[in-house]
Amino acid sequence: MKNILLFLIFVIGLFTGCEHVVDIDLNVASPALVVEGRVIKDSLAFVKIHETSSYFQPDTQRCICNAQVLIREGDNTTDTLEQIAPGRYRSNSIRGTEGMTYYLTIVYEDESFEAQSYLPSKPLIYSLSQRSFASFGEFGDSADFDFGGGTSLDSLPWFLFTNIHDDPETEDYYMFEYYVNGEQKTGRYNVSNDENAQNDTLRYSPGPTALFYTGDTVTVRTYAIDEGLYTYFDMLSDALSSNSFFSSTPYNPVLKYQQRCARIFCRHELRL
Amino acid sequence: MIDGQIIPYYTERNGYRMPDYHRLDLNLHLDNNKRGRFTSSWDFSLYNAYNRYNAYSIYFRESEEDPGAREAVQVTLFGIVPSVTYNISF
Repeated sequence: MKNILLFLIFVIGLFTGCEHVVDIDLNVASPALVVEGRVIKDSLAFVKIHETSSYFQPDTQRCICNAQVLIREGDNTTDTLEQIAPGRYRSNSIRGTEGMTYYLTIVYEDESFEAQSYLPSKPLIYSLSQRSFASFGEFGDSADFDFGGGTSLDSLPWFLFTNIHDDPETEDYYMFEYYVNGEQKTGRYNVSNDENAQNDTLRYSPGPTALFYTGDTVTVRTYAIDEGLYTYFDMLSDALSSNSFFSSTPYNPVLKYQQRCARIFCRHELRL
Repeated sequence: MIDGQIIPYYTERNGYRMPDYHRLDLNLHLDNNKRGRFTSSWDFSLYNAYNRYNAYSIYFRESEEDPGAREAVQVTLFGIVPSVTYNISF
């Protein structure tokens, strides 16, 4: 009997797939510029610039310190941003204003990069609600509790829903950030258009990205963004999930209204 | 890396090739003597005789030993697979 058992273990070991770390000789590509621009209402415009880095050593990315960074607000003011730290530039005069379009120009090593983004109106959060993990089975919608509702299913995680106002007359785009006990939930970008809005309410859930348990503290940030930024983050989330079974093939997200920059966006922040 | 998240930047499509795939399969076929209307034989086989770890897929993940760094992981399905077959014909 013992020999049979050893034989079975041997056979299972033979037939089971294995994994091991290998060295891959990736081609060395010329570094590309990565730009993160932020224009938030009532905050000074901010731009961070660095280069793409080695895939296997992402911490080695190089900051761009000698770029000329300009931001123009609509047809009005143009400001040259001041470098406040390596690769970090901040405007001294331009603050985010609702309804304005911002134009970014970066001049670096005799090349010029341009982008633009629109700052939409402030989003309004109606409420947050939660739904028990178990409710997706036998309980159905009846287990859609408000915060503080008692349940015997405390040991199970909860799904979070953010209910925000949406203007039915306009096409609107939103981005959500979730923090559970002060820690931001990452792994995907939570963006939504208003196609699934009903009347004047859009109900959005990050799904399993931001599960929480009874007693946790949840913080939600909602941003109104423009179409170009929505498209970019939507594609980026898809590209980042390229290791999953149902994902698309890997690709670089395409930017709308941008030229050769990695990312610039305006957003209007509301915290709850 | 943006906001602490690693975002791959692909330079070209189909720019890389998987490692070479090769293996040696061996088979020994032995015919037994015919008994009445029955004939029988044995087959002794070795699939992937030199137990090469051919790549089924390669994926990337964060290094367990060096957090923040990335590493490539090769998935191998079958090493050496012996088999024995007894055939009866009538």
